[in-house]
Amino acid sequence: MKRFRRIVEKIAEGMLTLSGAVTTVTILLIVVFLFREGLGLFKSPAVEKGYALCVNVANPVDRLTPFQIKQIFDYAIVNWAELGGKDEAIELFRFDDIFSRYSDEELGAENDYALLPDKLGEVVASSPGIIAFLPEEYLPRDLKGVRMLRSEHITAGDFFGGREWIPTATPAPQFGTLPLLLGTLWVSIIAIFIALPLGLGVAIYLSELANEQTRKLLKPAIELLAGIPSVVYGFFGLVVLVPLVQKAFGLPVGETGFTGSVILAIMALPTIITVAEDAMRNTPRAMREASLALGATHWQTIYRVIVPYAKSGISAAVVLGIGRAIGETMAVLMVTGNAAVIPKTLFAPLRTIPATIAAELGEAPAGGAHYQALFMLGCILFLITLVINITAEAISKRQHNKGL
Amino acid sequence: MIQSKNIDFYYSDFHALKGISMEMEAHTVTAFIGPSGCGKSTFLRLFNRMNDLIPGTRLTGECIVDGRDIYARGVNVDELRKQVGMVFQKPNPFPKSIFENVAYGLRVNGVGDRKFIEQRVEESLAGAALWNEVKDKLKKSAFELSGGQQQRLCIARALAVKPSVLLMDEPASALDPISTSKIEELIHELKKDYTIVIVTHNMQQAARVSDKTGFFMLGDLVEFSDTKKMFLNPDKEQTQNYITGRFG
Repeated sequence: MKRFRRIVEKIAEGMLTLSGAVTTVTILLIVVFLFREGLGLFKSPAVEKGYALCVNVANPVDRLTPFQIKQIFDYAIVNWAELGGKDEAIELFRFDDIFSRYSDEELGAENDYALLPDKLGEVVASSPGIIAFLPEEYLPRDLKGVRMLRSEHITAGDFFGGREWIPTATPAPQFGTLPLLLGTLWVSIIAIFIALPLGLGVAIYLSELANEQTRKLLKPAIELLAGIPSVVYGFFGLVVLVPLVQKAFGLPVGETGFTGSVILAIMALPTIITVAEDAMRNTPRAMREASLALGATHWQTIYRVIVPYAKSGISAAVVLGIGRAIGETMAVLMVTGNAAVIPKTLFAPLRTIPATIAAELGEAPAGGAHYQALFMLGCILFLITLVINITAEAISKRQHNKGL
Repeated sequence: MIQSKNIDFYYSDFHALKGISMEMEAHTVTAFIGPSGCGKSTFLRLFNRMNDLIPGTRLTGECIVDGRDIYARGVNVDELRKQVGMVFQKPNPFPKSIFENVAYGLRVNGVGDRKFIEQRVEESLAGAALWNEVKDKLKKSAFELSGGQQQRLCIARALAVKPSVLLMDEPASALDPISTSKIEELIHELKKDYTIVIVTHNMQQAARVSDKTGFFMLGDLVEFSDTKKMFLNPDKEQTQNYITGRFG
């Protein structure tokens, strides 16, 4: 009997250990997967897969950044001199243009366009200012007079310092995260500025001023707010807040960073209130009594003793609130207008990192540069929340170590 | 002078104090003794209205401090608490510097004059026999002091607002014997300027520091007389039994 019980205990122990191990390994694998997919971005070519850029052999320019390529094809750069080359006008040549220069017979249409590569080679060789964007399978075989631009990889500088996020641009998609990162930070920080005074006020009210009945009613209600699905908040924001903001500030559209901040503030409030209120209620009764016994009023006791005592708890509340705001996806996606531009004012549409991932992952081909860029965004988000959680942990530890 | 007339006190349904009447003269030390839960702390906390903080309490009778019923309508409780200081069972300094702990009572009363505050802090710390030990580290956190020093800091903090009465709720029960004897010496000193009421579990302490002693049991004031008489020749058998350690 005893032996049997020991075996059962051993099995139970083994199962608990196993479930712990499985969970840990799973989480680790997810993180590894995230970073592996994300870091692949820096190995993918700056030009669309399966295509290449060719210039005339006499052209000294042999490397272009993705941003420069985009500017060339947007006619923002029109002379090679701007790129350190000769003073020569840039002539854009897209693959389709070949059909307007030569007839089907000349290209050998009936023979599977056998002559096409040679003709392409001729075109490139004959004009000194040309830049041609060609599919790899029709690249000229005879490279006389033609030079392929060296195939560049997307660099960390392009990714972190790039000011444009246009993942579908041809020939060079733009993966600059600056607008998304700044959008996320703007929305989150303004959200905290709205939520902090409000949340602190409610926390003080709940822990110090409200009578027992009000508190018993209000606290669960506030905790309930934390459980409402974010899409519901988003819907509320879209239907109520967006028109309100549009009217109140006389804007062309109501879907702005500010609208997102307000929604996020509402969503972060329950966390801030609950954590800050707990911290204040944990102020020892002896502290309150000591203050009151010296003739301090209730209000003086609150702001001279209780709030300072709960300072680290309140900081933890703020950090957790920020964490909630930064990672929030759905509600923000629905109300911020999703324009991936660097926000100059709060009252313009902007786009956050999580919203970008949610909106674009579905249409990004697996394994492509766009897909990898979205994973890299995920990595950034992961690192931000990691830092936030570590900070919160450190702060609440300091609370414990205060030695009381 | 402090006086209670026919005090009955209830925590919700629990009848914690039953018809207590007594008088404590100015510049004396009065000790309350009795087993745990007898109501001695509750009675002490009536005199600065600390029991107001506990919901569901009820009081009948009169509490008179310096000729005024402190539970009468229109009494300013904050003003009362400046007049009746309190020292608690466990040292409870604020998480502030030593200086700011003592200055707290002045600051909440709107005193802003730095010179005045500095002077009063020094006086109060000296009055609590702590000045010499802390004068070089006034900016340090109060938590860096030992338990006994913290308790004297709490006494200094109470003295800084110049009360006329000092209530002490087992002020030495969390301290070691050396710190305890320092507090007891201090009580002797303070008697000159303050009316002191002290609750204690330690009967020797009551015998050492007090002029008069009240013995509480189950919410009744069993006996109240001169300390000497109480410990040598009590009137009631219950008192005799408690003092000689036969129960409680």
